[in-house]
Amino acid sequence: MKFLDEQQRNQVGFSFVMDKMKIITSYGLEERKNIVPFKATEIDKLTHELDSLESIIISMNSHVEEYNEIGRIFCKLKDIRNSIKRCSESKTLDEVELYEIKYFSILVTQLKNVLDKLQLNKEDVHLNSLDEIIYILDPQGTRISTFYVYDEYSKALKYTREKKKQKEKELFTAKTEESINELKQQRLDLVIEEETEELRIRKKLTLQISKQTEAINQNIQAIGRLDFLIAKANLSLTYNGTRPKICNEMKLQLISAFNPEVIEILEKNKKLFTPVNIDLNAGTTIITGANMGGKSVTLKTIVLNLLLGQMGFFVFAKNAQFPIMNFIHFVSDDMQSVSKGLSTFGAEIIKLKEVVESAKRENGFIALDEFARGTNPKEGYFLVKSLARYLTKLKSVSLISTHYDGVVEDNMEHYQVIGLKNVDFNNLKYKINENKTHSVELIQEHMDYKLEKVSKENKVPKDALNIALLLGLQKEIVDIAKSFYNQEE
Amino acid sequence: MKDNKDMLSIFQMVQKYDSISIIGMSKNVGKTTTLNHILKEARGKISLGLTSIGRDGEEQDIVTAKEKPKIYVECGTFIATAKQCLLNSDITREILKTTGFNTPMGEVIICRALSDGYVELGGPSVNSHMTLICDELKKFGSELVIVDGALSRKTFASPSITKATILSTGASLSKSMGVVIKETSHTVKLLSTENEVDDEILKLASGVLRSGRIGIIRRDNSVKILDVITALGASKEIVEFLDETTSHVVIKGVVSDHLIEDIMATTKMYRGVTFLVEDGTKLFLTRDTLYKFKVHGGIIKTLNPINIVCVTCNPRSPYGYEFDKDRFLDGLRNNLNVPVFDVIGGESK
Repeated sequence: MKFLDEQQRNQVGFSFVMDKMKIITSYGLEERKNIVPFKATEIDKLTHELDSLESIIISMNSHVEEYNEIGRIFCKLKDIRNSIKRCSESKTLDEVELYEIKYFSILVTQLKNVLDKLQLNKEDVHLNSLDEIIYILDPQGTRISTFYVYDEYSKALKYTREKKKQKEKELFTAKTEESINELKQQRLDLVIEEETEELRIRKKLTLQISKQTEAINQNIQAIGRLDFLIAKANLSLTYNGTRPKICNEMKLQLISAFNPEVIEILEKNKKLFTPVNIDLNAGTTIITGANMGGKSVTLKTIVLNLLLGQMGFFVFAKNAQFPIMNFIHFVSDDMQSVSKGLSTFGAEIIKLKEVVESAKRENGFIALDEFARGTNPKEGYFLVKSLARYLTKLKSVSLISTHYDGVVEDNMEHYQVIGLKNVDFNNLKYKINENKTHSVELIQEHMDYKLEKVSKENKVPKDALNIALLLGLQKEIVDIAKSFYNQEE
Repeated sequence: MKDNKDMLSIFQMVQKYDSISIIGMSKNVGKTTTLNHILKEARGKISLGLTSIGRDGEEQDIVTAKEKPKIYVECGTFIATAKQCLLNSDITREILKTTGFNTPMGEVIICRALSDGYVELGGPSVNSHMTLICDELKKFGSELVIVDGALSRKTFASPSITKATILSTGASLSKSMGVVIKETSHTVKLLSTENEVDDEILKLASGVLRSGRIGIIRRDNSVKILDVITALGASKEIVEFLDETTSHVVIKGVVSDHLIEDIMATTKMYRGVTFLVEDGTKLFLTRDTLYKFKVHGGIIKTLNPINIVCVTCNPRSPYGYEFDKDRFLDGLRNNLNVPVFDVIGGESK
């Protein structure tokens, strides 16, 4: 998968965002099922898509009532694709199908009226008039949505029905078993006559409708498109999304980016999300920082927004800029292959091989979350360092989070989670001593999840030892550890 | 014997309700005859809505289109039935609405009969869908909605969603008239089990039904939900939590002999405790078990009442035997405290 597999999309919060879309019609759901990232050659298309979204958002803000009306009509629309398919295959439609097509056509007319008021001037949500179909299926001209094979379709039908009605009347007043049976037989003969005539009429109607199937199918597409666009716009309005700037150079910039799924989880615990600010270029960027410092969340937030942008969504940020990527790869140790019997490390390597292969061919975005964390630290460090160095040579944007020290080299960018750097350590320790059961929460409260750009000389902070201390690891052990730290310095 | 003279006709009895259901003790007891009988009596008087509780599983598969009961309706009747059943009907019909509720026989469609004729009924099998469909039928203009119901473990929809219920019984149940009368009387008793009236308890109980299968309500109105998969084999868990503080036990689903006997065999704490079931159709208890339970001080009440307005009987069995229709009718009338009608043989006296 060049743009994450199902499980990864789940992990970064993409599936969450898709579920938050309030798509109403089955046609809109179909549209969502088929979304793919735009290709590098399709920058015009992507720009057009973002234009469409922008104009819908503007339109929605100024026409609230009209869009509510559209929502109400959407709710009534049923999936008639199967009937339309049968119709174009010249299979005779039954009364229920004819009813559904008639109702659909009436709803399309209503929808068209609302859309005319909005003056969207958008080709892909243009609706064809289905007046012809309504005319065919409403011979009485009542504009009521119900349907039956109307007497108006044929004199013969009307005549048969009258005769049948007469028999039914007689049947009701008949006294003897014999006359009842005789009338029943006569009625049955008329029922057969009626059904034959009805079938002939349904065939004719099917044929007439089949000439309109293209117009109907175009409308189905347009409705799906409109439903999808409105849902996308609503998403952006709900979360205060931003139109991303699509550039040509390999530059990725996010200001105050966020991840709705993580926000929702944090909100449940009454906590706030720290927005992500980052500036990435072709080559390697390293994020270092303490344990519990939110490096994974940062990566997921970047991946999510980049992916959404590639698909023509507004992104969750104050400001965003990036080019069309040929791929987005995300390597983390909770990948699916783990469950296939590979060790975490094994799975990472296999995925990495694939990533490098595709990065050799084309340019995209690579995110590696704590790569080689699962193997022995010395070897892991060498591997991360080699990988980081190798990736500087490529045109792709690579982002590696690690807590190995000394990976960063001159030609790499380096971001660090501020973490507990600016915390009054003794004060925090005092607080934790006062309230030992909430030590983790207290640390989280004081943790500064913000990223800061640092020079390569910056060492990875010794937050691990600090956190161990705060969480109350036995002093005996901490003391030994401290002596090791001192030896190193 | 009770005097049935000056009695109202079936139609007159149900006319005051806006919805009724008809359920049968077994197959071939004249349920369809009863329905047709009411349709005939109602003819020209009020506007009817018709639907049926769908039967899931085996029954539905075996019953072929031909064997499905055909019902003769009057022009103007509103019908909610599965698409396949609708297309098998011979009335001229106007399609009013599709419901989006699916059955093995297709989506449930609402239509209006534009002529007299035969219809096949096949409806939803879920209570909530049934309630919505009844509402739709009323909205289109039905003054009385009749639900062709089912009395079987296989259906989830229950007659308790209608305001009144008619029970059909007949010779096809057993060759012995005595057995048929006894069984019918027992079923009427079970179905019309006393309803819980305490609003507070009803509220707590509906909370239990939403969140689990079984719940214990204590005298202080606190609730303990038991972690069981079905009510059928849950006696152990129930017994474990029964103590002097227990006032009610709420049971979702079927209450069987097995369950009640297990409880009686292992504890005495059930005395004075009220066992609440969804409605009378969920009670699958023999007379003996029910009797023993009550004598020992157990109480059973329902959350949703079933209002049995009358019983109809069919003295003929399709298996080739027939009861004396007068003796059968008299026997039933002497043993039941609801009116009994013979819609097949009619009144001979």
